[in-house]
Amino acid sequence: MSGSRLEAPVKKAPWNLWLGVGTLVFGVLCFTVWFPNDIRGGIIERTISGRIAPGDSFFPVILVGLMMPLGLLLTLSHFRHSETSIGEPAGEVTGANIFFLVRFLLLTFIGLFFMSNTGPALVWAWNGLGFGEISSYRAVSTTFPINVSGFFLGGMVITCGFVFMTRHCLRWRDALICLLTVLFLILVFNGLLEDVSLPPNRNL
Amino acid sequence: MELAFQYIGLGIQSVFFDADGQFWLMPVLMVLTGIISGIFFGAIPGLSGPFALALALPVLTSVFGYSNEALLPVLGCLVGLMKGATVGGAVPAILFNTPGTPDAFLTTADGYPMAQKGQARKAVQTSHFASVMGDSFSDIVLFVAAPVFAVAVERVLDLPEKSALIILSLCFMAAVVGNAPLKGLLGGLLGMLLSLVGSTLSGNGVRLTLGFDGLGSGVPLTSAVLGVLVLSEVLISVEDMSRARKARKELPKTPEMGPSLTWAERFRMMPAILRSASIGTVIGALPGIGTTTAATLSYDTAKRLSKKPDEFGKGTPEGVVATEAANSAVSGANLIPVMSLGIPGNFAAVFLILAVETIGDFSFGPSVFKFTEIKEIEGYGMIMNKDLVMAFGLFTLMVMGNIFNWTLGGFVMRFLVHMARIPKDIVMPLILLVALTAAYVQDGGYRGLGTALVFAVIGYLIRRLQVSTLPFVIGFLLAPALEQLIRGAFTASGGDAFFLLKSPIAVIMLGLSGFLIVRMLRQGRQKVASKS
Repeated sequence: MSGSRLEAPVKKAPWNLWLGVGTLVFGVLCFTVWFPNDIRGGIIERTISGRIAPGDSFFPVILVGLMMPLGLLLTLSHFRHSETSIGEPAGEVTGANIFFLVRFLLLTFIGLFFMSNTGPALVWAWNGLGFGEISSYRAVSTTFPINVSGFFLGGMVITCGFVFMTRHCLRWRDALICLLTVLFLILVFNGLLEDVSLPPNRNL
Repeated sequence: MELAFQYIGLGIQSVFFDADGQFWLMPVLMVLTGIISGIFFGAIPGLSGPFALALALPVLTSVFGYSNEALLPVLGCLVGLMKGATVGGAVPAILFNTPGTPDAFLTTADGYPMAQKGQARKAVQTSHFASVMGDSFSDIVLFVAAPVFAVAVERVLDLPEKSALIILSLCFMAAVVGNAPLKGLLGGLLGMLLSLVGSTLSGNGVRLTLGFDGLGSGVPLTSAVLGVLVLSEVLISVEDMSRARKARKELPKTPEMGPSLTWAERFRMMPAILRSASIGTVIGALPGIGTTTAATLSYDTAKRLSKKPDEFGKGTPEGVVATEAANSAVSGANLIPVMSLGIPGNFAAVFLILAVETIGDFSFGPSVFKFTEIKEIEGYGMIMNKDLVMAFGLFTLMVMGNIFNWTLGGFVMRFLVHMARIPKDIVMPLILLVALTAAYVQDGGYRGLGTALVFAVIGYLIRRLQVSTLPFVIGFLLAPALEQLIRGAFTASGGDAFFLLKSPIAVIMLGLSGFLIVRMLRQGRQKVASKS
C-alpha cells in the first residue's frame, strides 16, 4: 500500500498503447453491446408529470464517455513520444506475471476445493466404513470438529502452499506457524463469534 | 455556541452510555484494543495500518453486528489501529533499519544511526513523543476544521457544485498519487463504473449484471476493497519474494538501548514538533497525498532550518522528530475531507468510510455538522441531529486514543523488538488466508470470496501497470453519491445539457480539474525527459 512502489524505472512500453486502445474498444463495446442489452432505462427519460429526468444509462454513459478521450490521449501519447517526451510512464504485465497469477489462482482454488469437499468426504468415509449413518454433510455442519475440517485442510493447503511459493521450501517451523494461524482463525470465527460460518458452511 | 456544547456533551456521553442509558466502556476498550494491536501490527515489516483496518473490519462487524450501537466500538477500534500502527512502525525502523510501515521509511535515516551510536532508547522515545504530539495536534485541527468546513460547504455548495467537488477531488487524487495521472483517472472512472453493477435509481431493474443473478444485489463492497487493497498487495509481495531467490538477510542484533530521553530534551523539541506537525496536517488535509510526502517535506524543511544540517542522516533526533511528527499528523488531518465532505483521502479513511457504509445509518458528509435544535417532542422523544452526536462521539474516541497512545504506547513499544523479526515471507501467506476468510464471512460466503479474488486480480494488474489503486477505490466508493448528485443537478436544471456549467463555483472547480490534469501530464513528461 505504499506509494514508493510507484517510483519504478521509466521506460517506453507498449502498455500505454494497449491500455489506450483497450479503453477505446471497451468504450465502443459498452455503447453498442453492453449498455443497450444490460440497462433497461434510457439516457434521458420523461416522467409521468412531463419532467425530463436522467435514466439508468445516464451516469454510465457519462463515465464511459469520459474514459474514451482518456484512452485516446493514452494512445496518442504513445505515438507522440520523442527524445524529450515519452508520455506517461508505464509498467508491464509480462508472461511471468500471468504465470504467477495462474499459479496463485490454481493454488487458491485447490485450497477452496479442500475447504468445500473435506467435510462431505469425511461423511462419505464415515458411512462407508460403517461407523454410522449420516444423511449428508449438511446434517453435521454445525458439529465440531467436522464443521471446521474443510477450513482446516484448505487453510493449511493455502498457507503452506504460499509459504512454499515465497521461500521455495517449507520448514517444519513454517508449517507449525501455519497450523497455529489456521487454528487461531477457527477459534475466533467458529468458537468465539456467533452467527458466523467458516467456509463452506455458509453456502450449504 | 450553547447548542454546540450541548452536542459535544451528548457526543461524549454516547461513548460512555449506551442507547438505554446504561454505563458501558466497550467503545473505550475497543480503542485500547485497537491501539495495542495497531502498535504490534505496525511493527511487523510488510504490514501497515490499512492492512490492519482491512482485516479487522469484517471481524468487528461479526462481533458487534450492523446496528447503530455497533458504530462507536467498531470505529473506536479502527481509529485505535490507525493511530497505533503509525507509532509502532518506527521501532523496527530505528532498531533494525527495517521500517514496519511505509510511513516510517524516512525514520530509518536518523533513527537507525542513533541506535548504532548507542542511543536506541532515546531514538524510540523521541519517535514516540513526536508521533503522538503530531497526531494530537492534527486531531485538534480536525475537531475545529471539519465542522467549520462542513458548515461552509453546506451553505455555499448546491448539487452541481458538490458534483464538481467530487470530480475535482478525484482528479486531484489521480494527479498526485503515483506518476501516471491519466491512468489514475482512468482507474477512478473504471472503479465508478464497476460500482454501478447491480444498482438502479429509476426503478427499471438492476443494470450491468452481464446476466449473472449473483450480481443483482451489486458488488460486495468490503470484499471488493479487500481484494484491491489487501490481496493485490499480498500478491505483489509474494511474487516479488518468490523471485528474489537471494539469501535472506538476517536482522542484526538488538543494539545497545542507552539513556532515556529527558523532559528538558522533550521541551526543546517542541518547536520542531509543531512545525513538522503543521506540515503533516496541511499535507494530510489534501486528499491523496500520503505520509511519505509529508515526511519528506518536513525532513527537508527541518534540515534547511537546522543549525547543524550536516548531522541529518547521521543520527540526529531532529531528523526523527521531523519525520515522525509529520507522518503521524497526516492521519488525523486525512479525516477532514472524510468527515466534512465524505471524501476519503487515503487508504485508512477508505476503511472508516466502509465501516459507516456497512454499519448503522450514519454517513460522513457536510450534513453531519448541521446544528439542529435539540427538542423534546411528546410522543417522539428527543429530536436532534444524531449524526452530529455520533461525530462528536468519534472525536471523543480519538482523544481517548491519543491518551492511550501517550500513556501506554511507549510502554508497549518496548515489546516490539521481536515483532520486527517475524519474516515477511511467512506473514503474507497468513494474511492471504485471513483476508479470504474475512471476505467469506463478511459478504455472503463464496460470493464475497469470489469478488475478493476478482478484484485482487484487477488490483494486481493496476499495480503492475504502475497505477495507484487509490483513485480506483475512491471512485468505487464515491460513484453512488456522485450519481445521485449529478442526477439531482440534471433534473433540477430541467434537463439542461450544460447543467454542471451553470454555477460559477462548479465551473471553477471543473476548470481546476482540467488544469490539474493538463499540468500534471506536462510535469510528468518533463520529469520523464529529465530522467531519460
